[in-house]
Amino acid sequence: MLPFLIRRLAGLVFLLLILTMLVFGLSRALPGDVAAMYVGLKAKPEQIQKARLELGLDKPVHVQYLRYMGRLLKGDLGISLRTHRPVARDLKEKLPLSLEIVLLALLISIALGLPMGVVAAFKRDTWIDSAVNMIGSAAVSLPIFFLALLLQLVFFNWLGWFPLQGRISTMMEFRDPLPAVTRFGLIDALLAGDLEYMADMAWHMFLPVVSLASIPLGLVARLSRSSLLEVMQADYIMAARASGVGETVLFFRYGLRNALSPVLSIMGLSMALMLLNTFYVEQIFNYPGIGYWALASIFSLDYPVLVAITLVLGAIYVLSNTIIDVLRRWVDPRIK
Amino acid sequence: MSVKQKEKPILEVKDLVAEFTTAAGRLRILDGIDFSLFPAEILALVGETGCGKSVTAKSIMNLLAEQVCKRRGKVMMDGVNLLDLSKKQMRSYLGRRISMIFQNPIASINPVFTLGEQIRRLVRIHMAGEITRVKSELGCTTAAAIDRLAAANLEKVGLTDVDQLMRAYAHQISGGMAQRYRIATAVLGNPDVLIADEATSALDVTVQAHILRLLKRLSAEKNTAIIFITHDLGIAAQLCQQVAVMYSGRIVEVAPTAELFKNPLHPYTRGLLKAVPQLSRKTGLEHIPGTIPDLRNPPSGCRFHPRCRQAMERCRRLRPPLVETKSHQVCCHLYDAGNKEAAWAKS
Repeated sequence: MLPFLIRRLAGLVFLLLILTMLVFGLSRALPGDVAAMYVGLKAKPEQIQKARLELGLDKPVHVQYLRYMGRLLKGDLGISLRTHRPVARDLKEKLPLSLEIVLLALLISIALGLPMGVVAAFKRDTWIDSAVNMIGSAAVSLPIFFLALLLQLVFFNWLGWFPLQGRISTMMEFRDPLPAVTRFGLIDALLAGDLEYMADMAWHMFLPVVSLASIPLGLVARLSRSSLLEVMQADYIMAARASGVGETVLFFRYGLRNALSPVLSIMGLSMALMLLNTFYVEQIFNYPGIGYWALASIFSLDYPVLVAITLVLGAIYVLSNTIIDVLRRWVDPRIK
Repeated sequence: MSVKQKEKPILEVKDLVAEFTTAAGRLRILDGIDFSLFPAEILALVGETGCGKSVTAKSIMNLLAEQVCKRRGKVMMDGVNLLDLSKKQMRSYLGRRISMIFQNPIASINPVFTLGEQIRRLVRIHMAGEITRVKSELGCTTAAAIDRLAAANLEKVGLTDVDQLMRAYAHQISGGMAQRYRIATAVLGNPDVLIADEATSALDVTVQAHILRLLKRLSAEKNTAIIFITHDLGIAAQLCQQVAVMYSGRIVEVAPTAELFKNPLHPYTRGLLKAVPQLSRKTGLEHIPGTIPDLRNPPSGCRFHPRCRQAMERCRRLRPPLVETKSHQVCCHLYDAGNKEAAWAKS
């Protein structure tokens, strides 16, 4: 286990190195003057020149890159060209907001998707199976931006059950901010004992989380169904059945554990997918997380922010897949 | 034979038909199987690949999905037709009255649970009485009693180091050990009938011999009847008292082993025996012309007639009846008493 984790960590460092080069190189290759962007549209040429020197843009690209890497190792991600705020500070604020809805969505997609798939397989070729199949297909194939808008239309416009956008109600914003313990809003609110605040946040998160969870939920439901049905054809299931093991044990214990491995793999991929989908969802629901920030930075070519976001997403992807692989080893002792 | 006729068969299969619904239409894989199995008897079920040996076993055990395989006929055990039982009712028979081991022992063990976990579950299912007995005898906990019984069952099939073995997974043991383990799990409920479906075909020859000896010992010690499915006539000769030869979904000949090898009656059996290499024989190997029939469109009458050198006109039209001779049961028009052509053809 330990050599495996060390290998993964080394892989992660290597990946991040490649990512910094790629994104850094791309940001310089794109048209547009970074210095001009930094000082704004109305700046005079000498101001732009001054900014260029200040940002070190007069140096060759590889020197700029090495400088950037040197600062990165100290945890300094640079200054946002758009807001002139330190990128690291913004990241610390916005990342937990997105992670919170992504993790909630992941949790929901497993908590609902897995039982759906398992029940569909158990009740194969019944109306339950067809229903799960239909929900699964719809969940996977509905484009997330369309689903998000649809949810707003139904649950805000028509029913009025959920808010249109934002992270908390306007009234709540005037309260004292919560102490940032975990930086996950729901948990911090719970720790502070502020249930009203927590409920308000959960209420706002509901539609974004449902939008994010949709595709993983469909994937998990469909994959767990098909994986389980395939496993139930295996020799060891027939052998156990021939020895007098009951169907319930065969299915929910002997079969399910064997079927989990591919489901876990798809969850790792879902994690990456959902992080990307925060770009749409946070835009549509005006939710101030990393996706919202990323889009704004893309449009203004705010490359320090883009590099930082790319690195963070890459790291999260590798880490979540490492966790998944550890889980898969635990589920299936054959995986070396 | 003479002893057997006095005894009551433990398992009686009568006119067992299995039809598969496939994309190619309905296939009659089993076309009326008849045989009886007596206590402690080892019966070989031999035949080429695709003749329906495995389907016979799985039909008896009700292991095939009902949507795919429709079964008719009788599989009698203590006056109960197993084919009438639901899967749930059948479960009280599986492992306890009738059990089965398979060709690939490692694939027959759940890869993600330890061997110990799996055999302990079977001990809990089948040995409730023994668990209480061991508990009261040794004054130990239920878990300890289960552990003890599991270990004892593994030792009975010749496995050593059982404590370590119980912590192992299927991929960590050899094929021979896996088949011993599978036998231990299959017979721990003391079944009257054990079906071994090509149980030694995937093993090395030396391991094969060990497993055969183990099966023979089990059968003698516990009075277990064994249906030994194989395509290897040599193994059938070594292990079994009776041999049933299958061809294309039918049993064409049943006889005591020595009798069958000495004096095969059915043309298919004769062909099969001539196709086995033997060191003592000077002449070359013979083969049976043609290939096994296409089940989508099986031959009329006797399913063997297109490949039979002695085929007669009636073989094309009529399904041969089961004829009982002194020591054989044979399904061939050559031995049909009412058949006048038969006299000259017998030779």
